[in-house]
Amino acid sequence: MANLDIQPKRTRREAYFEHHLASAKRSLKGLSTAPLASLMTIGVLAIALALPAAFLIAVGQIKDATKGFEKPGTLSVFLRADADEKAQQRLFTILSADENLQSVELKSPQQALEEFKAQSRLGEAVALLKDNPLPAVLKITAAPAQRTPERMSALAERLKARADVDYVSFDQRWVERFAGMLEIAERLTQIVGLMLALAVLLVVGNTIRLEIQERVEEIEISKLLGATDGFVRRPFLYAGVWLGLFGGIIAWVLLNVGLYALRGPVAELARSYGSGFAMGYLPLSATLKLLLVSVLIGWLGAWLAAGRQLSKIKLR
Amino acid sequence: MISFNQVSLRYPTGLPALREVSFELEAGELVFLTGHSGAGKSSLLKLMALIDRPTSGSVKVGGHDLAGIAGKRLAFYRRQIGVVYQDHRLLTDRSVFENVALPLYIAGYRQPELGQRVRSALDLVNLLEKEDLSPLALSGGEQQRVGIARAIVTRPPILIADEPTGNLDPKLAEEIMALFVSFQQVGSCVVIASHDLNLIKHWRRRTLVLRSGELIDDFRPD
Repeated sequence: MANLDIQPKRTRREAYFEHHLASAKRSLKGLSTAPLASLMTIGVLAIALALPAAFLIAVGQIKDATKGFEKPGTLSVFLRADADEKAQQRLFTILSADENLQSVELKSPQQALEEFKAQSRLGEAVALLKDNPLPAVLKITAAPAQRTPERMSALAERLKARADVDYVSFDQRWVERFAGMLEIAERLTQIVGLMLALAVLLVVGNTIRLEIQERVEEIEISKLLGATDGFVRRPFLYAGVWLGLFGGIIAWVLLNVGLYALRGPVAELARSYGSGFAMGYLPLSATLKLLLVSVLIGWLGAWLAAGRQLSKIKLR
Repeated sequence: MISFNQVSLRYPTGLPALREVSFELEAGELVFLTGHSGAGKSSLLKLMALIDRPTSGSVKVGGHDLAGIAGKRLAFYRRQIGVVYQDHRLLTDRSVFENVALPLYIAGYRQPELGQRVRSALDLVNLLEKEDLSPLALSGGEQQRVGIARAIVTRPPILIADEPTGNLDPKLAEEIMALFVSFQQVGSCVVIASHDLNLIKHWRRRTLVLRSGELIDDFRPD
């Protein structure tokens, strides 16, 4: 085309970044011009983001707290009360030589009592007892090859058949069921999380749709004056990013307040089970993930809504 | 510079807006486009500004067939054209300065050049002292002049104006026409749609006459 005199003197890249900055500032200012409406939207986003995050944290914390539960391949063999120290040592020696077992640990009745006292905080009550009611225990870990349910059951049966053995604790099924329940809870949380992420998309999308409808004339004029689709869309994308970011920040605050409120009671409960487990606040990596996901969902909601709405605008 | 070849346009209702219109305009030419209301003047201008596309025929600008222009190229094409709209099309939540600055801002201009160009354009239409006002605080004629300042601020090679002097008193209309002539003299192609026959007679320029979508005359004064 002849006689063009419209090319900017500065490089296009500089103008491009300046427009990004200006769009970010302007969309932020746009949110502050209707503070109540913006706060309500951000509040809805925060709750929708905090809920699945809270469930995920809960499942993660329960997993952490139950890490010390019965490990796969372990058995507790309780000896008869009349099995004396010699009998205990004999059985310990026999089992230690068994190739099917990875490790064997003997806990004398005295050691078991000390442990019980320390973990249950019933020391004073136990001290009133004349005799130690606890038997000696052999903590056994099977060799990796033996850790199938069938082989573990057979091992338990073999040990139970020994003369000095009173009872074999092999509660692997409970642990498996518990792990299964945790797995289901985790899946459910992911499904709920996806649904709530969709809700966030819709909320952001609707907010951006309304904003575009309010600014149709400005968009039309800008396009008539030579604005590209990207130029027109940019402020709305930033509005989505801001909504997501603020929603994420408030969700983070809500989560940490919730964790703070639960910290004491959970620690108390863990102590009663002899665990030193304590709930922590949201770690930095989880915080960054939460904010990143919030921003991405905000951006995506805005992008979808802006693309759809802007394509509907016909120039006159 | 601008070439229409057998261009026809139909409204979505099916009624014809333009019928097989052909003409060529050169760079540095000022042309009036006249005809009664509904003759097709605005439709023809919309084709030049790529707001509409022809139903048949071809429109070429600067050697480019406009049929193939879309996306970013469409946006950049529109930056080459200054358009004065009959209904002004100003943003009422922005100041006069911001309205005139908008095409420069879109094209990537920034301060201080942006400010200099905007003030220069506002000075040409005698509105420099009103740069901070909202368009709502201006009269119809002043709004018209803001629209003109916005159209010329990028010094476009093609300037299109739809009834640009309709709301202006005779003295201001004269000044605005002189402004358009000054653009023509530096090589811009200026197309002015008007049904003001006195204005057209006074300025004695090439005049395309439309009637019911047909080009019925291409008058060239000696």
